[in-house]
Amino acid sequence: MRKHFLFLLLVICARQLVFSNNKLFGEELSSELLSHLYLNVSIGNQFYDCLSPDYDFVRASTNYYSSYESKTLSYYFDQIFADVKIEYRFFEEKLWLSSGLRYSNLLSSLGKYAYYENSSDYFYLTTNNDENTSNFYRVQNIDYSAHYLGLPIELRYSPFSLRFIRVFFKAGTEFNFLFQENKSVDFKTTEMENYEGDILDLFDSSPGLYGSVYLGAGIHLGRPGKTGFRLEANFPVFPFCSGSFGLVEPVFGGGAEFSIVFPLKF
Amino acid sequence: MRKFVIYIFLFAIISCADDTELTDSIYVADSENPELTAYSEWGYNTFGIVYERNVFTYSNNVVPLKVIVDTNYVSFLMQGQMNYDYMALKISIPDSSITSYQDLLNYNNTIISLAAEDIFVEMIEENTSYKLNILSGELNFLSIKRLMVDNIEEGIILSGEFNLKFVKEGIPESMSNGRFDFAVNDAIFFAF
Repeated sequence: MRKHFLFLLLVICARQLVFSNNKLFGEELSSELLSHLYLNVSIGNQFYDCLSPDYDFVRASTNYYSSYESKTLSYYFDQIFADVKIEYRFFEEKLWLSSGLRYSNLLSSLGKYAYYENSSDYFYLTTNNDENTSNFYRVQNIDYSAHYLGLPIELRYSPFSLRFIRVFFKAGTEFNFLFQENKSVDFKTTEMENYEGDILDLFDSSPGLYGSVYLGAGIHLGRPGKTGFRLEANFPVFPFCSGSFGLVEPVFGGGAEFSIVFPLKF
Repeated sequence: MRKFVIYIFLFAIISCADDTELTDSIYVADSENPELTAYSEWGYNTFGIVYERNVFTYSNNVVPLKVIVDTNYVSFLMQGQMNYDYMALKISIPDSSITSYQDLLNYNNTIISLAAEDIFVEMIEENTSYKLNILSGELNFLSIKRLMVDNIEEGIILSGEFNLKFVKEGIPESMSNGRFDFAVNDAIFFAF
């Protein structure tokens, strides 16, 4: 409920910023300019294909020779985002340039995939070893949840329209900055939770700067100058970051985005 | 109804699933010779050695190591296959101090010369046993450590390398580039 309230507040503030006496940053906005400006509120999700992490402190788990990985770990990297953007349409309303503020939640997880019914759902990980002892820990999952605030920049090209449906293509990039990170380890036995810090120390943290470049296409429902709805697919999405991606390494991805677009001039 | 029975059956199988990963053999290929397992110290329950132009290695069908203590000897029986036929190598070392698998920790960082007079090496192929006349060879226990899983001792990890030259049925032969990595616990330790 609190999240919904904050989101609504953000939308209202953005609109107020533009509408208040038709002034933006103290400068008078012409009616003509306003007619080309839209407020774009979006939510989206992106899944990434990841590289197999080859951690030398994780015990292998296949009992046959194959060209596949000897560590049957499962992993994913997912981005959920919501943003508020101002969109400026020009070149006979065929080009739409937008930018704003984006909140992203990057979720990544490393676990054990049970290929067969008698496979275990945990993997063995080793740390705190000495000359005489090998310590194994049974871990079911390691989860990261990283929160970012960022700046998306997107350019859409809408070559044609059919009544109130417009098809468009887009190219975009985003730069996100980490402001909070939560990590957790699910052990096979809860008694081992005291060792969570030791396990997490083995893995890199989420990157301070995370971004991506992407292409996409979609449809916009609504007449020019009216409130519209937009559904678009992002593919491919190529991520980049400062240093290590953290738990797993995403290679490329794709996703979907839904937006409500408000005209700034009624 | 039929589907329901199948689901119940599958659920029963899944429910009965047991964690056998520490007793299973885990295959990690050697980067230079993929027919051999890579040298490791994880308790993967594997071994492998180049025998002339073949590879004698572990098999998923037999327990790869049994430690047998009998009349002042401790024997390491490595069982596996060569060219899909059963094969085993039994190395017997005189030692009366071994009474439990934990006592094997004493072998950590120990090299045993297999050519010593009081050491016996036996090869078993299918149903035939051969006592080998050892010309030279070593059994090198590179690392023996306690294996703790979630702070509970589950056994020991016995890792090392071995090689030997010998005469079998009048013909000199060699085994080289051998390596082993076993998780040893009470289940594979036999004291008579």
